[in-house]
Amino acid sequence: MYRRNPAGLSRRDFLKSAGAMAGGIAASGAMPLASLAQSDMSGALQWNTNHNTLSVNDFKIVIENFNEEFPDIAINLINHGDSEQYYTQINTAGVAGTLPDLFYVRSFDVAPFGGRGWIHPLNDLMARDGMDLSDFWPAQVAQNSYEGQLMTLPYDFSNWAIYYNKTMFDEFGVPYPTDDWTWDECYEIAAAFQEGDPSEQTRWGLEMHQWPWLIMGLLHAGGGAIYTDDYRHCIVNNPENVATLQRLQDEMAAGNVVHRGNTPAGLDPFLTGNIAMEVQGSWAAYYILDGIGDSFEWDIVKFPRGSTGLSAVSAAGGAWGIATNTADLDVAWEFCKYITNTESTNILISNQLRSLPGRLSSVPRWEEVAGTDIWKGRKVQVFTDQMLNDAINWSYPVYQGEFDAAWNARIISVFEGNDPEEMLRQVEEEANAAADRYFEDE
Amino acid sequence: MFNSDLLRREAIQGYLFILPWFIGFLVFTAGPLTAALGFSFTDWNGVSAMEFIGFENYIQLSQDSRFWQSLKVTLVFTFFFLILNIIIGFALALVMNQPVRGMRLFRTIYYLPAVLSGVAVAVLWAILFHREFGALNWLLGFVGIKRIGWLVSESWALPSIIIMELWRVGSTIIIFLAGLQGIPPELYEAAEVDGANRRWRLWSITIPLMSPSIFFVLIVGFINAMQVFTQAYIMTRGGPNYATFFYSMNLYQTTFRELRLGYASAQAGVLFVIIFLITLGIIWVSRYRVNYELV
Amino acid sequence: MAASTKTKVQDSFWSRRKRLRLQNHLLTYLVLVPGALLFLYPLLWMLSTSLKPKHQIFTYPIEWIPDTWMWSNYGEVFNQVPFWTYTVNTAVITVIGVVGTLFGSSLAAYGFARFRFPGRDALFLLMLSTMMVPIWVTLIPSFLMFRWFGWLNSYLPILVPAFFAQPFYTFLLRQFFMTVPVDLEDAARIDGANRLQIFLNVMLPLSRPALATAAIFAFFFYWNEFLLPLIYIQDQNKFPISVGISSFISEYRSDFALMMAASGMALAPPILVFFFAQRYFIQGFVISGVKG
Repeated sequence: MYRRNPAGLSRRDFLKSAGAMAGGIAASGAMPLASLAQSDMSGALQWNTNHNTLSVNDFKIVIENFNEEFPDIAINLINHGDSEQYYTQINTAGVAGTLPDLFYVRSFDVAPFGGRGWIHPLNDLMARDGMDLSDFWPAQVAQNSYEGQLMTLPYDFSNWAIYYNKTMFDEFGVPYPTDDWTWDECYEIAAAFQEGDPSEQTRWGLEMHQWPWLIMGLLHAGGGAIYTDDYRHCIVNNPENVATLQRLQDEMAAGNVVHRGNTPAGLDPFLTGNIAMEVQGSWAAYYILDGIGDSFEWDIVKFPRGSTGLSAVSAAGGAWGIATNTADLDVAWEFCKYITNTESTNILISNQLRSLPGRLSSVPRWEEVAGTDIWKGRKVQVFTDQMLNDAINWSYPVYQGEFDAAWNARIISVFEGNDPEEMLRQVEEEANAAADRYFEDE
Repeated sequence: MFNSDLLRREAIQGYLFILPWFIGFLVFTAGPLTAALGFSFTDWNGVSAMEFIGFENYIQLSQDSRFWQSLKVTLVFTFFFLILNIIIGFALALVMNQPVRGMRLFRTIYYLPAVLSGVAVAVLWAILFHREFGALNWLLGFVGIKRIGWLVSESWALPSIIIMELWRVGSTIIIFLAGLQGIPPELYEAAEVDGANRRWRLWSITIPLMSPSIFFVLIVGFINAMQVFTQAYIMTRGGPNYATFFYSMNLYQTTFRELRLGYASAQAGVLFVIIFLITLGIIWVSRYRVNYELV
Repeated sequence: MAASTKTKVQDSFWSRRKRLRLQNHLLTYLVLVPGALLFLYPLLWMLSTSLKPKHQIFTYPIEWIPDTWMWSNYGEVFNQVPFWTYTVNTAVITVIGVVGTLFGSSLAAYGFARFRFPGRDALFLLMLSTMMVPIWVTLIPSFLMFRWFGWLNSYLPILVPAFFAQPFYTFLLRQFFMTVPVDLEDAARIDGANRLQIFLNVMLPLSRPALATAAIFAFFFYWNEFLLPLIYIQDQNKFPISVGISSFISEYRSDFALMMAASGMALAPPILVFFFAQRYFIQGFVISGVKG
C-alpha cells in the first residue's frame, strides 16, 4: 500500500498538491484559537539527536516555539555529533530501559529498533488524531514502517548528487557537467583534473565516499541487486556489482577518484579546493555553502546514470521515534507531532536548505528558499527532481546494520586495490548470517 | 594466651584494612565475572527473554572468522609491540645511561609521550599519518620513500598503530634505566679487568641482571596490549578490511552494535582465559630465566 | 724498569678509556639528538597545525610556519563545543578518582604490608591476579548492576570502584610501605596509638613520595579515561574531554586545525603535570618495576 512511487505524478501536479496542502496547514495554523490558546499539558521530555551544530541551533528554535504553545512541557535536548557514539548511547539506553522519550531514528534503524520493542508504533495515535500518510514521501513511509505500523514521523529525506567546483572547471577549461551524464562521463571528466606524480598529488577529479547506502544506489544503477525482493537474503555478490566496484577501483588507482578513508583524519578536499567534484548528500548543501563561503564558485549536478542507462539514486531519511519506555506517551506524541509539522519542518529543513523535508507540504518553502540569493545559480532543485524521478523506492532490511558493518570494514581495502568480488562475497556471507539470526525465531 | 589474643587482634585489624578491597573485589570483579560466565551460556540481546543455549556460543565462536581475525590482530600486535618496545626501550636506556651533558633534558623529552594517551593522541597521530597531508610521509619523502597510505592500507594500518604506541616507550626506558643503575659497577670493572669485551658484558652481566625489569615490562605490557581499544576506535574503526580489528573492537561491536550480550560474554571470557594462560606461561618461563638472586 | 712498564701500561689503559669515553659521548649524542627530535615531532606538528589558517593546512610540501598565527583556532573550539564544561567534568572525575584511589588502595596496601593474618599471601596474589581481568569481561554485568543501582548517566560507575582499592596502586603502595622501618610505628604504638591512628599519623606522612607517585599515575588514568564515560555518560553536559573530543572530531573532521587545537588543549594538563612531577612519575616505575 505504502510502496507506490509518486514518480507517476508530473512535477507540476505534485508541487501543486503539496502547495495546496501547505496552504491548508498554514491556514489552520493561523486560526486564532490554535495559535493563541496555550495548552495546559505538562511534563518533561528528553530529546536525543545525532546532528551538527547548525541543525542543533534550529532544534532550539523549534523548542522555543513549542514552549510558546506548551509552556509546561520542558524539553531537554541532547545532541551527539558522533554517530558511533550516538548509537552506542541508544543501544545501551535501550538495554537499560532508559531511552530518551524522543530520539533520532534513521531508515536503517526502524526495523532493528522496532524489533527490539524500543519505539512505539504510531498507527493508533495517527488514527486518533485523524492524520494520514499522504503528506509523506511514499518511499520514506515504507522505510519507516515495521510490521505494518508506522514507527517514526519523518524529519528529512535525502538523496545524492555531485557537487562541483565551477572555478576549478573554468581554470582547466573543462565544460560543466550536465544533468544527463553517465558515470563513464563523470570519471572521464574527473581524469582531466588529476595531475602529477601520485606521491605529490594534491588535486583529484572526484571524491567518492564509502557509505554503503550511497554505493548501493550506484550498484543498482549498474544493474546489480543488493537484496532479494522480500529482503530476507542479501545477494550483493553478482557480476554487475563486481564490475561497478572494479570500475571505481580502477579510477582510484589512476588517481582520478579519491576517497577519504574511514578515519577522523579524512579531510574534506572539496571545501579546501583540492578536488573538482564530490559525491555528497542533499543534507550537506548548507554545510558546504557554509564551509566554502566565497572562496570559489560551485554548483550541484544530478547523480550520473549507471552503465545500464538507468538514472538511480538511493534515498534514506531521518525521523523521530518515541521510546516505549517514555513516561508520558501523550506528551511525547504531542511534541513529536509538533516538530514534524509543516511549520517546524520549514524551520528545521527548508529555511536553510538541509536535506529534503520529510513533509511534502514543506517542499514549496524549500524550493522558494532554493530560489533566493545565496542559492541563486545553484541547482539545488536537483534533489527534489531526483526524489520524484530517480530515487530508488526500496527499504532497508532488519540486518542493514550488520550489512553496513561488514561493508564498512572492507570497502576501504577495495578502494585501495583488494578484489571487489572477494569483498562482496564476504559481505553477502556476513549479512546473510545476520539475517539467519534475525529470522530463525520466526 | 596473651600471644594468641594479640595475634587474633592483629589478624582482625588486618582484615579490616583490606576489607574495602575485598568488598570491591566481590562487587566489582568477582560478581560481574561470575555473571558474565553465566551470560556466556545464553542467547540474549538485553531486551527479550534470556535463553539458555549451553555451549552454543563457544561452538559458534570457533567457527566465527571475525573472532579469529580479531584474535590474530591482537596477538600479532601484542607480539610485535612487546618485542619492539623492549628492544627499543632497552637500547635507549643503555644510551641514556651514559653520563653525558644535557641528559636530564633528553630524558624529559623521551619520557614525555609516555604520559600522553587516549583520544587526543589518537587524533594527533591519525592526522600525522594522513597520506596526502600528514607530516610523516612528508618527512619520509626526504629519504626517498613514496607516500604510504598508513591508516588506509591493509598492510600498514597495524604497523601504524604499533609505531604510535612505540612513541610512548618512555615508561619502559624509565624502568630499564632504574634497573641499569641498580647494577653494581664493580661487576663491570671486574669483567673489564678480566678482559671481557662489550658484547660479553652485555650478555653476561647486563641482560641477566636486568631480567626482573624485562619480566615486569613484559607482563604489564602484555596485559595492556591485549586490551587495546581507543586507538583503533578513533583511528581506523577496526579497518581497513579488519586489519586493525582488535579483540576489543570485536567485543565492542558485538556488545554495543549487535547487542548479542551472551555471545559477547563468551568472547570476553575467552579473552580472560587467554590473558590468564599466557601470563602464567610468562611467569613459568621466568622462573627459569629471570635472575632474582643477583639483585 | 718494572715500575716504568707498569706506568706505561696504565697510561695506555687510561688514554684508551678516555678515547673510548669520548667516542661513547659522540655516539650517545648521535643517537639521542635525532631521536629527541623524532619524539618531539608529533607535538611540534600538532602545535604548528593548530595555529595555521585553513588554506595552509592542505598544502604540499608542508609549510610549518603559519602565514598568520591563528590563535583564534583555540577560541573557536570553545565556540563550537562546550569545551570548558568538558574540562571541568574531566577535572571532577580526575580529582575524585585520584582521592578515591589513594584512599582505598593505601588502606589495603597497609593491611597487606603490616599485618599477619591467615590467607594474607593468597589474598594478595588474588588481588594481583585481578589485574589480568580485562575490563571487557565485567563490562556487561557491571552495566546491568549500575543500571539497577540507578547510576547510569552519572560518574558513579567510574568513581565508586576507585574507593575500593585498585590492584596496581595497592601493589605500588605496599611495596613502598614495606621499605618503611617498623621502629617508627612501634614508637607510636608505645605512646598508645591504635593501628588506624598509626596508619594516618605515621605511615601516610612518611609515604608522601609514594602517595604522590600513585596520585600521578591515577591522574593520567582518569584524565584519559574513555571507554567507561563513552558507555555510561549520555548527557553531553557531563562528557569528559575524551568523549567530547571524539564527538567533536567526527563533526569537524575536515578541520585539522580545530582538531589539533582541541587535542592540544586536552594534552596540556598531562604535559604540565609531567613537567612538575616528573620525579614522582619516574619513581613510580622504579618502585613497581624494579623492587617488584
